[in-house]
Amino acid sequence: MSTELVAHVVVGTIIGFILDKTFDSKPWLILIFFFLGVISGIANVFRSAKSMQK
Amino acid sequence: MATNPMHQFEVYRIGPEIKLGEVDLSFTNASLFMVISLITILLIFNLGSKKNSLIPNKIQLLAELSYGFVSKMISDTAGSKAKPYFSFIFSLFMFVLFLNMFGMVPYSFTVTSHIIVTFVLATFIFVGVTIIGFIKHGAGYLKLFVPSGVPIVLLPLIVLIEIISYLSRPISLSVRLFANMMAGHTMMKVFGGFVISLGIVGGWLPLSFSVALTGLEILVAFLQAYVFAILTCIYLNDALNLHH
Repeated sequence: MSTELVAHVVVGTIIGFILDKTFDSKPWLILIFFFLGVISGIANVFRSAKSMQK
Repeated sequence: MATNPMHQFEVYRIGPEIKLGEVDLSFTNASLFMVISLITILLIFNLGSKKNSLIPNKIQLLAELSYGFVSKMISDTAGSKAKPYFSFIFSLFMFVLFLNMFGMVPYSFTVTSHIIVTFVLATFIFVGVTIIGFIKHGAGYLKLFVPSGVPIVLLPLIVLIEIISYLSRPISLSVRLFANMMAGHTMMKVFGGFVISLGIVGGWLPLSFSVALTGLEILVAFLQAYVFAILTCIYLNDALNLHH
């Protein structure tokens, strides 16, 4: 589960990096997608914890 | 013998160098252990299914037990629709399990402790599952990214988050297997090094630790193969039975 949390953040950051390169908007998209990755990682851990309790 | 704990992960060439243009296709120790585990799996299942006696001998029992184990795992997690994919998940589970287990033999090489091997396996699963989903549901498969009962205002944000979490599947799948195998083997080597450096006086404590770690590592080797297969089943379940 810990690797999942890290993987989401990494994927979000990579997407932000690629979009930044294509749109030439250096710091902004990588910041936004980094935090989106953090949110999705936490949401996913939350979801799997919920399904484990059932 | 080298005391460097990372020395065991070194890939070296066996036999002549084979080059196809720029690509190096030489036979390495990694390929050797893949071939060994493949031959072992083929031998076990060939011998196990040769004569179907009513009272099974040991090899037949092994083959039947592993068949029943994987079959039950698939029907529990992915339902009856996943039956056609049994052969894929079964060979995947067996391959990863035998690679992990052959890595536990001293002086051998653990193929799954290299991220590129697990990442290629995970990418194949990811691409395959996505293709299956689009074949079964067409464009309706994109509904996977739109959970029901979300207010319109939040929808773009949720869709982005869902896409990130879908794309992170191959990475989390491959990193989990790779990190577990590599960390365990490095730890065993480090404790082995402690035995030598502390000598006959203080070496008994790390030695007993090393013995306990070997048992733990065998458990981890089995568990990670199981987790790899069961996560494949879960992803397949998402693609086959689309309900949110």
